[in-house]
Amino acid sequence: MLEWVHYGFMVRALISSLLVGVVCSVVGVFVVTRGLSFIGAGIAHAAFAGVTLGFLIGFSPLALAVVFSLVTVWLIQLVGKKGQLRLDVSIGIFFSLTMALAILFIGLMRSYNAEVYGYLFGNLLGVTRQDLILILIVSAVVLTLLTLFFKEYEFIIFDAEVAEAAGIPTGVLSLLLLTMIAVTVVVSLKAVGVILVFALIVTPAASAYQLTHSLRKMVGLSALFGTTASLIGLFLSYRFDLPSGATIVLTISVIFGLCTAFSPKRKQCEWTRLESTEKEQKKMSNVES
Amino acid sequence: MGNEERIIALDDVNAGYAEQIALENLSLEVHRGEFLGIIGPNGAGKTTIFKLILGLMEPMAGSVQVLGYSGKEVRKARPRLGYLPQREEIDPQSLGSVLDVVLMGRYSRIGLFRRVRARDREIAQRALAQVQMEKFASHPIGHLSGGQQQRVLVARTLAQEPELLLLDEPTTALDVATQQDLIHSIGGIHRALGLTVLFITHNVNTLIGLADRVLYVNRRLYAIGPPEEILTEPMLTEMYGHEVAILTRPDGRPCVIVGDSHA
Repeated sequence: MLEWVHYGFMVRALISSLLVGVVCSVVGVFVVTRGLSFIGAGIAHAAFAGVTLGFLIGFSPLALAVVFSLVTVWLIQLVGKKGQLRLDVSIGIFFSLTMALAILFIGLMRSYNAEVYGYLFGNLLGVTRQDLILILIVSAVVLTLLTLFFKEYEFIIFDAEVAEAAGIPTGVLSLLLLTMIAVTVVVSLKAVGVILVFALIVTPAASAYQLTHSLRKMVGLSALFGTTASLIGLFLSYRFDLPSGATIVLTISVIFGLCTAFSPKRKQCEWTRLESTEKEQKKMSNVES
Repeated sequence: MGNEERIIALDDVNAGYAEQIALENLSLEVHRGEFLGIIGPNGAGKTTIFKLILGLMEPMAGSVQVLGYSGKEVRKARPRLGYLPQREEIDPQSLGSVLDVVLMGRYSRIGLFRRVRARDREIAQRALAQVQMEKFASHPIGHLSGGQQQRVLVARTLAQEPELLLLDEPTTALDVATQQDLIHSIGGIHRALGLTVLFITHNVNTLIGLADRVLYVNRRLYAIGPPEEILTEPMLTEMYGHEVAILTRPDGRPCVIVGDSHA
């Protein structure tokens, strides 16, 4: 059962899946509550364009992935503001633009490159020592920053307009959050892949959102779901020789299904809505009489 | 009426968005402790006045001075200004308890990299008590009624320990009884704490007996003065574009009726 601990690649896969599970799911809380799910998907595709360019010109794929995703995030903001477009429109433009670039770069390679497809679909068992160190550093920095600015992000999530009016540096913090999302996506690419990384960011947070009204508890639950799914997914992948990214995402999707089906919060909300409608009706009939 | 210390001064201000001017040649002074009601039709530039005071918008021409800051420095006054914008009802699934939301009012005072302390919690609890919502501290904010949520948001501005309250149509979308309760609370807080209040409303009746002065704005400063001078039938008829009658209630207070008074 535990023979895998003798294999270095399995230990690296385990540690990296835990780290990616925690950092993605914690970042995901801020993505979900700020309504940035679509922008995250755009970042993943931009990062993939960077990876493919890296393989094409023989430069570090991860470094170019970081550059592509950060530039895309900033351009999405800029085009949205200058062009007076809704954010989803400018994301849609860059989403397809960067995917087109990725396909173009793959086409220019003229030969099949298995590593590129590793980034597309994820390959936990292929995580190297250098990859692991990078994941560790990025996870530590991102989690520290989120802890330091937790109360400011809490205010922005609840009411960005009032937070800014109260003197909270909302512009800088929003840009910092987008940068953290970009970097988190990039370091997670190798483990879960472009297509699935965003499921690991959004789904644990969305599952936690079903269970609590507290942002702090949501962070804790999301991290718990993210790591649990990563561990179970990795085990299933090893045991049944299945793609690790897919087993992780399928596991977290099952967790989401359970949380939604048994959400006490949803039931409370339905009850509260019913009760407040009855109260309003009673009040109105009192006023009328 | 407040004392003579001037805490806001707008001097010949033009403001707006791109090609759309929202305010023209507006000059206004507000003194410490004053309660200024702001009325005017939709699109008259009422909220723009708040955005200028908060430094969320820069004037195209003229100058803005708030608590001694002017130009780009106006935003430095933000932590001392309590702002309640127009809003829609909070989603029942929204995150945060009532106390969490009120504590947010402390965050600009606490500053970056610092944690919430016991004193901040005490101030937040006191602010909740001032709007009679202390019993609801642990309730999820989304589970409260519209009127209760609005009280909590007023408490959040009070927790900021502001010198100036900017309230943008705080009674919109509330039923009549709840509007009266909230107005009563705001009036009580103004008197008890001596806070300067700028209060935008479409319900001019709320300003009677509450405001020291009323500003009637319609892109330009149309009129400013004590309620009895501004809330007159000709002035309000022009503002609403409908006939307005001012009746006297049994207790002697005036009451504004908008619509066809001959019906």
